Amino acid sequence: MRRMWVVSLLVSFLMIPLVASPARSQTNFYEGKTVTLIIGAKGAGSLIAATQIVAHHLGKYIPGKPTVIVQEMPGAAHLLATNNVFNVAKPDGLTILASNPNVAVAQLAKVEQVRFDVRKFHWLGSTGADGVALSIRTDLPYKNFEDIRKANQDLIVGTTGPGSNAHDFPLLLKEFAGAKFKLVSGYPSNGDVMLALQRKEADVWAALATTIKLAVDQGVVRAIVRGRVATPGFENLPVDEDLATSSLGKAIMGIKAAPLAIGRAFAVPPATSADRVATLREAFAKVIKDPEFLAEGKKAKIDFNYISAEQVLKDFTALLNQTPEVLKEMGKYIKLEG
Amino acid sequence: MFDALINGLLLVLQWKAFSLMMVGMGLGFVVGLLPGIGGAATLALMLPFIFKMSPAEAFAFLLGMHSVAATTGDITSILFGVPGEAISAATVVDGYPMAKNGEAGRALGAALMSSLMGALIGALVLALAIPIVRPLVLSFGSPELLMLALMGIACITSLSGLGARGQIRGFAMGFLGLLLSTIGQERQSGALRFDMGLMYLWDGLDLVPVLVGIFAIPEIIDLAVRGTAIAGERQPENLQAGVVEGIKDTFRHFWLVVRCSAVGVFIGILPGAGGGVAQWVAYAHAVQSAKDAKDRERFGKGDIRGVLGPGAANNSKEGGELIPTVAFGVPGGGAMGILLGGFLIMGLTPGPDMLTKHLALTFSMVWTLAIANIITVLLCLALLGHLAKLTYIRGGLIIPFVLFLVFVGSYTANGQIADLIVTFIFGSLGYLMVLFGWPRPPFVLGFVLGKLVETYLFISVSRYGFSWLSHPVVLVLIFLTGLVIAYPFIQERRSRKREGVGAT
Amino acid sequence: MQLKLRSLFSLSLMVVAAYAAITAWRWSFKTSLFPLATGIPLFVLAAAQLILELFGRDETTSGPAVELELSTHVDPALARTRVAGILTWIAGFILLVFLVGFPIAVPVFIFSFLMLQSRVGWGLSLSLTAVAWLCFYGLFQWLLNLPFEEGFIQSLLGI
Repeated sequence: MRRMWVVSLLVSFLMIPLVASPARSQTNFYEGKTVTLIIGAKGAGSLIAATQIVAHHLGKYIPGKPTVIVQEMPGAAHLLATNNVFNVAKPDGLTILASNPNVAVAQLAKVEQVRFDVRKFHWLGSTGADGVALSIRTDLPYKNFEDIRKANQDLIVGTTGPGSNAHDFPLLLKEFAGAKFKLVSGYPSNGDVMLALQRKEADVWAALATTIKLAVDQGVVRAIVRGRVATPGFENLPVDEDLATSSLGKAIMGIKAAPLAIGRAFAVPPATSADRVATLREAFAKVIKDPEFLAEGKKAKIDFNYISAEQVLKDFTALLNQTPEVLKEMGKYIKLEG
Repeated sequence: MFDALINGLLLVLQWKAFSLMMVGMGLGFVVGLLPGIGGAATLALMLPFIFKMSPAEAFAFLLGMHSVAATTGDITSILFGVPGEAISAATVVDGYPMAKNGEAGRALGAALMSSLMGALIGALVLALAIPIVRPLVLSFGSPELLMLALMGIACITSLSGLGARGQIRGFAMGFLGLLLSTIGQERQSGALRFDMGLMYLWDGLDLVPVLVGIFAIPEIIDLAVRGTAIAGERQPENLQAGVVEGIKDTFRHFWLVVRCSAVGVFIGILPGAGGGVAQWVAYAHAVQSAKDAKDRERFGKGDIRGVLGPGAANNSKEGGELIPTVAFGVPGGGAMGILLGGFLIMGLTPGPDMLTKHLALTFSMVWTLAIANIITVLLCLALLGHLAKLTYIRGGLIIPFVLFLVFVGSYTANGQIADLIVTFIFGSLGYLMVLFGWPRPPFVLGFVLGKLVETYLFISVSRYGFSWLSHPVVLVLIFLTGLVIAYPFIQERRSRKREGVGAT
Repeated sequence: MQLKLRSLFSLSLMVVAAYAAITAWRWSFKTSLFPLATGIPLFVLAAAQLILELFGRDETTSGPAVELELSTHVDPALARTRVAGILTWIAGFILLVFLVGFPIAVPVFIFSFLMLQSRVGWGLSLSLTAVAWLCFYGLFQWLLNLPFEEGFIQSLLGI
C-alpha cells in the first residue's frame, strides 16, 4: 500500500517537466537565456583562453543580453564536441561550437568517428588565425633552414605526439624539405618540450606562433620556419610550403596549414533558423571590434582578427577538395591528435 | 628578495585580495567536501570570473580555493570513505576505519593538523627553493623522471600484504593498473589501444570516475550490508576531545609528518611526476616507518599514522606543484594546468620573469597557500566535532546522499553518462578486490603512473639509447628504488631474527 | 562457495590479461611493448594465485594488505541480499540519470531510497529530499553552472 503511494507520487513528480514546458516567447528570444559555447578541449591553452574572452563579451551584442558560458567537452581530439553540436545539440541558437578546424582534416581522412560535415555547419565567423613556427635553441649554431638541411647530425625535435603541430610540422619538413630531424615524441605538453629544450634534451621545437613567440622573447629559441599564416614578428621567415621539394609535399603542408588559417571559428548546428544565424553572425562581427574585448586579448597575447563566415566556409570547402593521390599519401603523415 | 617576500604578504593582505581569497576558500571548502569534484574542474569554472581582477587578487582567489579543497578533501575520506578529491584516496585507507571505530574526531583532528603542517612546510620550501628552483628542475630530465615514477611503483611492495601471496596479489594489481593505463591513444604513434570501438575510450580511462568508484562504492556497499551507522552501534563519544587528541597525535609523530611533507613537496616539484601519487608514496613511507611486522599490521585498520602521512603530503605537494608551473610553465598537475590558463588571461608568462620581475606576486601565492590553510584549519576545528557526528547517523539515511554526491562528482569529470558507468564498473571491481583480498593501492599506483612510465621510457630510449642508465642522478634513484622494494623484506628478516634471539 | 568465487576472480584476471596480450601481439613493437610487459606478468601472477588458492595451504599470514576489511559479523546470506540490493539501487540510479537527467533523477532517487529502502517516514523523506535538491540546484546549477546532459526521455519528447 505504502509502495503504491510512493510510486504514484514519483510518477506525478516525473510528469512535471512534461507539463511545464515553457512557452516560447517570440519577442526577444535571448532574454534571460544562457548561450553555451562548447569547446572540445580541457584545461588551459590559447583556444580556451580566446573562447573565454569571447564568452565574456559576446552577450552584449546579442539582443536580450543573454549570459554566455563556456562548456568544456573534451574527447577524441575535438571530435566529440563537434559531433555533439552537429547532431545532438538543439538548433535553437543557444549552443555554439568553438571549433578546432583540424576536425575538417579528420573528415578529409574519413576518420570513422566523424559524424559531421564541416560544410553543413552554419559558420558564424572566426576570431582570427594563428600561425605555426619552428624554432631551434639559441645556443646551437644553426641560423636558418639551409643550415638545418646541411647539418651533419640529426637534430632532436621534441614533440607531443602525432597530430599536434609540434609533431606534424617538423615531420613534413623532414619528409618533403630535407630537414635533418629526429623526432622524439610523447612529451605530455608543450611546456614539457620547452623544459626539455632548456635541459638540452631536445634541440628543435614547433608550436603555435604565439607560443613560440613567448619563448623567443625569453631568449630560449630562435624561429626558423613558419607556416602559411604570417603572425607579427615572424613575417620574414621562410614558409614551409615554399621549402617543399615536391608538389605532393606542398599539398600536404597546405592541408595542415588550412585549418590554422581558418583559425578560431564558431558554428551553430545545421538546422538553426536563418534569423538566429544572422543575429549571431552580426553579434560576432561586432564583438571583435569591442575595445574591451581587444584589450583582454592583448593582455593574453592573443591576436584577434575578424574572418567572415563566408570566408570560413570557402576555406573549408577548398580544404576538402583534394586530389586522390594526396588523399592516399596524407594518411602517412597526418594523424589525429591525442 | 626579502622585500619581495614582504611585498608579497602585503599584496595578499590588501582588502580586495583578502576577501576574494576568503570567497575562494569558502568555495574550496564546499568543493573539497564533494567527492570527485576537485580542484581542476572547479578551477576551470572559476576562470571566467578572474577577468576583472588584478593578478594578485586572481591568484589569491584561485589558490585560496585550491589549497583549501586539498585540506577538506580528507574530511569525506574519513567520514564516509569517499575520497573528497579523487587523489585524496590514501586518507581513506586508515581514516575511514578510524571512523568505523568511533574515532572520527581524532582522525579529523589529525588530518587537519597534518594538512596544515604540510601546507606550511610546502609554502616554506617553495619560498626557500625559489633561488635554486631552476637548476633543480633542469637537472631532472626524462630518464630521471622515469626512475622517479618507477620508484613510486616500487612502493607497491610496502602497500601489499605481507608474505608471498600478499606480494603476488599486490604486484598483480599493480600490473593491472599499468595495463589499464594503456587504454586509449598511444602517445608515440597515435595508435588506439583497447578502445573497443568506443570514442569515450580514445583518451583512456579518466582518473576521477575510476578512483571515486573503486574507493567509494565498496565502502557504501559495506555500509549497506552492516545496516548500521558508519561508526557502528557505538554511542557518540566526546568528539571535541577526539579532535584535540588528533591534534596532539600530529605532534607526537612530528618527524613523520615532516618527512611525509618533504615527500609531497619533492614529488610535486617534479613536473609530470604524477602529483596524485604523492600521498600514496607518503602512505607507503608511513607504513615503512612501522617498527616491525606486528606494528605494520595495524595499518589499514585505523592507525593514526596512516592519516597523518597522506594528510601532510596532500597539502605540501600543492606548494611543490606551484614551482614548475610558475617557474617553467609546465603544469605540475591537472589543477595547475588550469592555473596556467589563469596566467594567460592575466597576461603573465610563467618563467624566469616570475622569479625576478614578478617575484612579489610569486611570493603572494606562497603566502596565500599558508594563510588560507591556517584560517581554514582554525575555522574547521570548531566545526569538526559536529561533522564527526555524521558518522553516527543511520546508514540508511546517509547512503543516498553519499551516492548522489559520488555520482555527480564523477560526472563532472567529463560530463558524460559513460563516467557513471565507469564508476559503477570499477566500484564493483573494487568491491570484489576487497572481498577477495586483492589490494587497491597498488592498482592506483600502476594506473596513475602507467602513462608516465611509458612516456618517459620511450623518450629516454629514443633520445639517449641506453646511455641514460649511467646518468648520475639515475644511478642514485636506481639504488633508492631497490631500497624501497627491498625494505619490507629486510624488515621482516630483522624482526624474525629479533624474535629468534628473544626466544632463546 | 567462497573459494569458488575467489578463484573465479583470479581466473577472470587471467582472461583479461590473456585478451590484452593476444590483442597487443599484432601491433607494432612500440605500441605493444607496454601492454605485453604488463599483461604477461599479470597473467603469470594471477595464475600463480589461482594455483595457490586451489592447491596450496590456507593462508595464515594473509596480512593486512593495508586495506579495507569488510564487516564479518553479518550473516553471509543476509549480506549477499543486501549487496545485491544496494547494487541494484545504484544501477537504477544510473539508469534514471540516463532517462531523465540529473536534476530530476537526484530527488527521485533520494526520495525513493529513503522511503522504500530505509523505511523513513514521509515527513523526513520529503524534507531530506528537499535539502538534497536545494544543495544540488544551489551549488551545482546556480553557483557552479555545471552543465547536465538532458535525459533520454526528454530528448525523445523534444522538450
